[in-house]
Amino acid sequence: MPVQRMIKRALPRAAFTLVVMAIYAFMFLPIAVVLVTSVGASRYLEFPPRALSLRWYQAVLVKDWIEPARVSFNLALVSAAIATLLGSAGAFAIVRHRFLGRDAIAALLHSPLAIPSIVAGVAILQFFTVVGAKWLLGFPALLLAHAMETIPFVTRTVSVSLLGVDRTLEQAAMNLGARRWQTLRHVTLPLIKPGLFAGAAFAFVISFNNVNLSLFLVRPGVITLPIRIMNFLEFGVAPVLAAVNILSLAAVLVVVAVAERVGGFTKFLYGQ
Amino acid sequence: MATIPDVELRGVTKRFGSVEAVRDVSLQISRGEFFTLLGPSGCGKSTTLNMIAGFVDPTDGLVFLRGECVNYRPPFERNTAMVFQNYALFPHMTVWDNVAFGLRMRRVSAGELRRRVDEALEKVRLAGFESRFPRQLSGGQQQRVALARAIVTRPAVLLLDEPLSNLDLKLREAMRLELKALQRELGVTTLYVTHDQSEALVMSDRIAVMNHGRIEQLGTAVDIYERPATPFVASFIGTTNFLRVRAVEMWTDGRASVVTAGGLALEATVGSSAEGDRLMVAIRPEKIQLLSPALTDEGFHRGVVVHAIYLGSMVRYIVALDGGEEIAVDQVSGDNAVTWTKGNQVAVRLSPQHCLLMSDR
Repeated sequence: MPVQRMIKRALPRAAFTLVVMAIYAFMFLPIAVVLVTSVGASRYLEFPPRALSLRWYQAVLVKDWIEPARVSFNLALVSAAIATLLGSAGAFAIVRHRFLGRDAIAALLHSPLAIPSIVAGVAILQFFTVVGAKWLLGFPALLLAHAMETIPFVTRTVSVSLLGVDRTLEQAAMNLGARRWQTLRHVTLPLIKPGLFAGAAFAFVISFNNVNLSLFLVRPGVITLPIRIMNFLEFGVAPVLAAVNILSLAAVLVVVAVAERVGGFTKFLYGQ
Repeated sequence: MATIPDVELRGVTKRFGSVEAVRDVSLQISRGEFFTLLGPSGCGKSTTLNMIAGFVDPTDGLVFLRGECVNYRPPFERNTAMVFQNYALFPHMTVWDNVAFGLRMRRVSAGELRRRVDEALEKVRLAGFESRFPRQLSGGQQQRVALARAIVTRPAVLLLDEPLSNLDLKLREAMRLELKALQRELGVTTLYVTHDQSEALVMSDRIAVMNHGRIEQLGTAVDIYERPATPFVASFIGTTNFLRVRAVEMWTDGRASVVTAGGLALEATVGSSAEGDRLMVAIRPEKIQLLSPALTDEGFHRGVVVHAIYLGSMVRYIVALDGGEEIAVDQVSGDNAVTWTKGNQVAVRLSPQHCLLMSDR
């Protein structure tokens, strides 16, 4: 009897653990495969590799790969900064003020989420062509498009943080002599920091991985890493791609870790 | 008054849409005074406080701080210090930084800042807690941090918005006395907002009782308890018996002869609001005497005890008067605890001095 009861109790738990492990395996095994492939010595994709080598990492260290990586990194950094600035301003307006057309602006700030970005990419390209601003293609156009694409993510996270800020804290600050900007700097911003950095991290990652918009807005000489990978794929799959993937994943992880360290945004994602 | 009051309101009104939250409130609070706005929730007392702090703009009327009209001054230029109901401590700052905040905004020099923050923490007995965060403190300690943060700036007026309402009963009673002692020691002009009548009676130099946005009565604790001007004041503070009456004769000495709805003839003191023909007499249960029916003479009415409720230090008797009206009478519990029991015949004395005639609005 006790044995049966023990099995009855342990079984659901074991099943649950199994399901969770399966989910993690599904998420991380492909990355593990890529990681292992990237250190293979063969000229062809091989799993498991027969010999180990770092030759593909060496192969990445050429201008053809470094230049797109540099463009992508700078683009993600600057567009995330712009999106954070504008997205937060939008969040303040929507959460803190009642004005004519507030709902419309709130909807607009969320709309890029609703439009397929490949459609947006074509639209932006056409727009630049029509207004005779094709010279903006390349970094400026990419910057504008990526910032626009990522603003909603910042507006969302900052709005949620802002809604959680007790207004009496700001009243208390002003009552103690803090002007509006001092109240913002010393009280409001520190309190919404997790949401701010969560939004910024989302914006960075989304920009860094974006293909749909970039596809239409790059120009010869200024292309992003995902586009470079796409171009490369036209000639087939090669182990060098595995190395590129691992390195770009590492870059993203470093940026996210820094944002977490400074802003503590997991606080925002999972609560205190 | 020769000296300028620290706080003055002149005809202050606040309308939110069509709702009049505060109507034509005027008052003056002098230096060092402990002034209380007392009333039920929604009576406009917090709105009044917020208009003094500058968080709410009055629709009409003037707000003065130390003789200067501050209607158009933002909160950060008013030199008031508020203790919020939820304390509103900055959660991302230590106790020390919370208390230092007001002085930093005022650009006080580092040495003076340190001295004054230490002094304030000393005053509220929180020395040693400087590096704690608010969430690491008990409710009572948080309350004291909020108090230290307010007094450290040496404000023209200390504004307290139901500061004790989140504490448990024992702590609340202890904090009343502590708060009052601290206020007296600092001599800081204080405006206190509460719905708790006993808090108001214990701490205040003067009390303004508010109802529906208006001040119903303004006076000392004794004024308000002993000589309530309106039925609302009489019923909000303490317990009061009301008897519906008709005036028979108003005498020139401030007394009146009245007859209750049940037909009892009474002598009453005419209050300031005794106008119109809907009148009542208010009398506190502890001001009524119950005596043996053998003692009856002219000044007594007859009655029968309906209930005797033993309350420990006191007994509350519900007595049915001859006219049929029931009144509550409080007596200190005597040698036998309960003197009268249900069904006892008693003589009841309703002395004219304690029967207050007021209009029933």
